[in-house]
Amino acid sequence: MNISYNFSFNLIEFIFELISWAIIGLFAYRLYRRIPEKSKVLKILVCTYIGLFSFSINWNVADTQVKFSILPLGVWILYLILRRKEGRWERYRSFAWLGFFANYIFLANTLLSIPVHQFFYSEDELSTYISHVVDASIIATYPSANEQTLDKESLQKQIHNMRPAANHGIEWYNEIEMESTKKSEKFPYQLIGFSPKWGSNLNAIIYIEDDGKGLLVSTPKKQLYYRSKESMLMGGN
Amino acid sequence: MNKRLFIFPLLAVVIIASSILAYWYYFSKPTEFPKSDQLLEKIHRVFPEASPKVIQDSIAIDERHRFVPFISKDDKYGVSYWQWENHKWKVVSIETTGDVHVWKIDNNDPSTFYLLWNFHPDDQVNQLKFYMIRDRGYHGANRQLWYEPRIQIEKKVEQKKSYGVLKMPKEWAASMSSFSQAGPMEQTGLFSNGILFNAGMYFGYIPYDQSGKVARTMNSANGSGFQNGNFNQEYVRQLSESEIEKQ
Repeated sequence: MNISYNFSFNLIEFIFELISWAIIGLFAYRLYRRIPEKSKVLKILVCTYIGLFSFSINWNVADTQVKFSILPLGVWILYLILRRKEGRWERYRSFAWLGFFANYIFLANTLLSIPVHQFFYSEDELSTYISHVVDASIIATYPSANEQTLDKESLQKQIHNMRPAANHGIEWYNEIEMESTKKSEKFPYQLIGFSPKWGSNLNAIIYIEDDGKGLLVSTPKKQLYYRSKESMLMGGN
Repeated sequence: MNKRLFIFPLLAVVIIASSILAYWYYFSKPTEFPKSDQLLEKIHRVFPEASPKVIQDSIAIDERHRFVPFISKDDKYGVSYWQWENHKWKVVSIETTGDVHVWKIDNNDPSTFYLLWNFHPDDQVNQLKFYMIRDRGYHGANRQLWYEPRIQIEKKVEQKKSYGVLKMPKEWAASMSSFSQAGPMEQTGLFSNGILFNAGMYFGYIPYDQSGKVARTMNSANGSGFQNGNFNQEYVRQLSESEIEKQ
């Protein structure tokens, strides 16, 4: 899980994590009913939890890192500890393995949550990244920026109409770097004070193009470039 | 007597007393800041090499943090950083030169960052230009392309005394915060000590003399330092004019 410094969080991920724990709890309960000799519930929970420890490989599915567990480290640890007393390992064995298989329940839920997240929070829609603009403003991050202010109304209007355009990052870079004496920056403003759609956890860094008609939306997963017909800046010269 | 009747009140007293003590130790309001002669004595005691002679000023950064520039016996212009910590005023850093540094009061909150300096008058620093910079660039990963616009924000400060304090301008802090929220492209530690950001942001400055030429800060270049305690600081590099993109 990511640590974020603001209060937005990933609602879909949170719900699916709850579902995962509920499924594991259900399995644990069914196993518990089957064992003849009742042990302490706390011990069972600890065993299940330790069973979760595993050696795993990480790989990327649709830009989300998922964990594929291979070696049941927790199960081995429990075996080494519990085998010293007759019958103890047999009693807790099924819970340790439940812990290990719980990794796959989490995996399945993560894989399921990706399309659900994309359904509710489309990663190509600008409105996912800019939802609340009440406190939004711009800062000039480069000397070529003019004294302009954000036209919130225009921005609000554009949010739902803008479509992603091709990102020509390499050309932009080369064009600017070719100029030897007087450089300019294609995106000399930064948009601040906005927030993404609630529960999406899709925080972005957003730059505004010098003509006020382009937005460059940067997230850890991708960068999107949007163009509009009208400027989102006003005033100045 | 019933043991319980005795133990529970005792426990309550211990808990209350220790929380009052902890509050006093960690959270209580700072006492008055020490006077110049006490400061001289303290600096001399913890870092004799500084050999302080004159305390120039004591600038309150906030209730719990103070910046104290001083002049040494061998005419060096030094700086010291003071912090209200564990119920006493503690000197957390002493340096015998006044090159620019950033003091990060709260490492995770750029609005609590301060730029601090104390240049030797012989260096004739008349004006300072401070910069927050992130270089232009592009990179690709997972069939995605990122273009990183150059960030270059300037702040001019006229130099009246040898020393100065500049609170991180609002725009700088806002820009930095957005980077910490949205994260750099590789999601690793954001505010690691030493490097301001792995998002590539850095601070720099250029000193100018009265005639508008770049000042040569010979007398403020070399020195030694002492650091102690819970303290985040970062060196601010002197930039050459060729590193600044001009309009």
